[in-house]
Amino acid sequence: MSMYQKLRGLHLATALFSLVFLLAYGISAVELAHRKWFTHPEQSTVQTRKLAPGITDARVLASEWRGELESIENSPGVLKFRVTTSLGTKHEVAYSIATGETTVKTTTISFLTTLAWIHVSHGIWAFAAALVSLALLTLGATGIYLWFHNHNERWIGGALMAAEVVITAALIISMRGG
Amino acid sequence: MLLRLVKKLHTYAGLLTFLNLAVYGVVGLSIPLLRQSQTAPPVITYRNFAVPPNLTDRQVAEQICSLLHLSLATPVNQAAIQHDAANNLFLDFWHANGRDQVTVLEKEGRLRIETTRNNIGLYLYTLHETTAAFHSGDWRMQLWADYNEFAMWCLLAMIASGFAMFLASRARSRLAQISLATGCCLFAGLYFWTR
Repeated sequence: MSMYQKLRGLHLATALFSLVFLLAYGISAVELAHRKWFTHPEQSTVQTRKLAPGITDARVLASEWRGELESIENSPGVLKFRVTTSLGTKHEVAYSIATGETTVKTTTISFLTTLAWIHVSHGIWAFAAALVSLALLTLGATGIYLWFHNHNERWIGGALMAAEVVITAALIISMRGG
Repeated sequence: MLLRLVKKLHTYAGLLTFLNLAVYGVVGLSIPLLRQSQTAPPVITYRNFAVPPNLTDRQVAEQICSLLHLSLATPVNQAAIQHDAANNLFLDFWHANGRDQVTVLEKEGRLRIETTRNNIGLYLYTLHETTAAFHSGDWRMQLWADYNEFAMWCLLAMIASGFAMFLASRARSRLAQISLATGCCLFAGLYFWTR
């Protein structure tokens, strides 16, 4: 197998492996850049549960839900807190210390907003972003090789890429200087 | 013929946005590190500045922006114009390179400038999220924002054209099928585990 065939195979495999992730990041990039283009509906449900009474530490109670514990409020007799998952689902919990009666308001976000949460990479999604970024850089490097292998498009492609790299690099360096 | 056209679109979209996509890749790789990193502690400096009479707070803010060469913080956001507890004009300029908080000490005829500079990772992070929806008073940032918007759409075009090329000519490749299935399963698994 020639180098061209190996790198073409790598380009294809990497692209297909990261396809869904790249699509998620690409669509969410449009959503984040143009939030006014889209609606962001939310849905809430309320449940009541009975937990063991007498718990005064929100961290103990919060272990019932997966996510980040935020916003603890300690009122007389009532413990309130919020747990937010990596994909933006919020559980707002109000727990009666005396009786253990617990009200849980769960708010789920729209699919597009979920993609935006994936994009900003909370929790394990930060590592997924790193993996997909490695894939993106691999796609760039192998893509350059594959393009260069095509003699017909070397000159025009090279000119376009050189112009783009020079201009954007100049902008990045210039703005870094203030 | 159509496939050749799609391949050209895919190739040129990549060549025209190579550095932008490289910035996306570098930023994504550094996300776990960025969260743990700290910017350098703020540096406080003073500079003589006599506020001209009969200027509004916004006009003063714009003059100071120009004096301190903070073109990346223009146009001056309304939220940047504040007053501190002593009713001194307080300007909170955020920009790609960090933050400059300026207290206008009118009676003393000077400015107190607290500068916090973003490290290179945070700088690139800011650049990667700057698109055409952002309107900058600095022509360089506006040009970057517009081109970055173009790069974002090119990425989507490359995803679509790449998938089309796969379906048209490599759909039977076992490696391709396994890669696609693995990626889809990984995404679905992460999604259902974390939602």
